Amino acid sequence: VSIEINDVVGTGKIRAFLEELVREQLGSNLKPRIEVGYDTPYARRVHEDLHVFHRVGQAKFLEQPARELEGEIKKVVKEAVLDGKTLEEALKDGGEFLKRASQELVPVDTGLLKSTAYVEVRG
Amino acid sequence: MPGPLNHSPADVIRHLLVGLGYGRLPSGSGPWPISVGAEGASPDNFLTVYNTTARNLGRVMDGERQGLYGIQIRVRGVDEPTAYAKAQAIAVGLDGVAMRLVSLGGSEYVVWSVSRTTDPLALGYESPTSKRVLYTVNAVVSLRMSSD
Repeated sequence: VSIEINDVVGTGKIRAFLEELVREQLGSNLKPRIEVGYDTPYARRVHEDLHVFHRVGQAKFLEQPARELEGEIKKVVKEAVLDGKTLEEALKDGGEFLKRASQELVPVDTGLLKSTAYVEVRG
Repeated sequence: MPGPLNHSPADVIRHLLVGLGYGRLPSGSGPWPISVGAEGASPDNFLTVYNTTARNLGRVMDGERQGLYGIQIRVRGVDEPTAYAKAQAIAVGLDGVAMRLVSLGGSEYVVWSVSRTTDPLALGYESPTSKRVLYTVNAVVSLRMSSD
């Protein structure tokens, strides 16, 4: 599993990618990519600013679960594949798992950030 | 995370940055003081290193846990060009780190590599009334305390 936190230049979005999760197991050359992110101009600031105290939630609300739950995300994807789901569907399940875990950590004192979380299939 | 550490990864990286010439310890003199975990109020140009979530890579045959430590370097500059140039220089400098020895408080560490997980991220002004500008650089670090 490869999970990295990236940034969309110019928009302030924060996103994580799950990629190449089960490609080896399936012997497939497909390179689907799942993007988990937050679509607000201030997502980057809230995510990155470790100085700010939040009464509920925290900074690094996406990076932290992406790293801590890496093994569990992989398991979710594997089980989805074994259940007969397509690679894209399985990756989407992994992305939704990360999104839910991340949303639990999102500060709620910054307006609509939590509700702008998204999962998208790419490639 | 291979083996015990006597200092936090952020502190090791702070001393690495000092060794690479990107700043100095707060107790010293010169530009760009570097602190760990708490940013100083002055001077304008300031670096702060934070510990962030580690990435667990599992265990090797002898049971030792392997992983990469997470760090964030926060760059506060007196203005946009200053902050960006510093963040970019540090990012490029970290890319070139390989098997670097860092001495800290009687302990010695080997920093095997520093892998950036982001380019420098612009956070904007420090506050609505400030002209100081913030950037962050995030990375995962492979390091071990030397047993020698």
